[in-house]
Amino acid sequence: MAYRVLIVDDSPAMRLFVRRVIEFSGFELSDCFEASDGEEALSVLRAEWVDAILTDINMPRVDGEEFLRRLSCDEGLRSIPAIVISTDATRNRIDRMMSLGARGYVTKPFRPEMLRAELERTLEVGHD
Amino acid sequence: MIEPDLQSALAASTQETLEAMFFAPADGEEPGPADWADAPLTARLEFAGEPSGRLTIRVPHTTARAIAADFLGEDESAVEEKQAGEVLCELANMICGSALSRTGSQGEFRLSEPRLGAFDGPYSEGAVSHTAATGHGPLEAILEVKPCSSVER
Repeated sequence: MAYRVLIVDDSPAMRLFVRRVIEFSGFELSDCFEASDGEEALSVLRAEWVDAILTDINMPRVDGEEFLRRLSCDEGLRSIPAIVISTDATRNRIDRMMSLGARGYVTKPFRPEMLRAELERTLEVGHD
Repeated sequence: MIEPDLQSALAASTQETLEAMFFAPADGEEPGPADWADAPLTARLEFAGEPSGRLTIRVPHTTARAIAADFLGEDESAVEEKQAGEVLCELANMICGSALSRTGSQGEFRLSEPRLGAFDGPYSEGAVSHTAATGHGPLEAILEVKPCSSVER
C-alpha cells in the first residue's frame, strides 16, 4: 500500500527535504502535498484525502498548535494522524502537542530512518 | 535554570545537525583560517524564554551553496542563492533548537524567524562559539545568552 502525506512547514527548503527523506527512506509514498502554514493545510485537507500529516510548529498565520486544535474540532479531519516535526524537544512542548492530538513527535535534527519509523508506527504499517 | 556547559551543547548540536541532515562527514578536517577566504553568508535568530538570547551562524558563500545542495538533494550548480539562504536559515533554526534543548532547561522557548544579514561581531560577553567542518568548508556557530528574558529585535 502506498500512502498520501501532507507536509506543513513555512520553509520551502524544509518541505523539500522532508519529502526527499520520505522518498529515499523507502516509505511507500503515492502522493505528497505541501502547505506553508496551518490555514493552507486545512484548505488542502478539504480538497484532498491524506493518510498522514507532518507539521512544523512555528509558522506564520496559523501555527502548528492552532492547526492541531482546528483539526481536532473538524469531524471530517480529526481522524487523520498528525506527526509534529520540530526543533523543540522540551518535555512541556511535546506533552502539549500530544495533548492537542498529535500522534507522533520527531525532533530536528533527525535521521531519515527516524522519520520513516515514526510514519510507520503512526500508520501501523505492517500491523494489518 | 540553564546548565553552564553551553559550549558542549552548541558543539554537539552543530555536529549532530550537520551529520544527520546535511550528511557531513563525522571526522571532517579541522577548518583553518584559509577556509575563510570567501566572504561569509550569515544567518541569525533570536530566542526568548528561559534562556533568551540569539544564535548566529557563518559560512563562506561557496560552502553555503554546497551544503544547500546536500540538504536539497540537488546538484550544486542548480542551487539558487535564495535557496542557499533558506537552507542556512533552517540550519540555524535546527542548531539553535537542538542546543537549547540540550541545556537542561525545562521551560519552553520561542524561536524567531531566522534571517540573513551582515551580523559580524562583536559578540556579547559570555558568547560561546563552535567551528565545524561541513565537508565543504567551515561553519561557525555563535551562541549568546542574555541574563534577562527580553530579546532585541
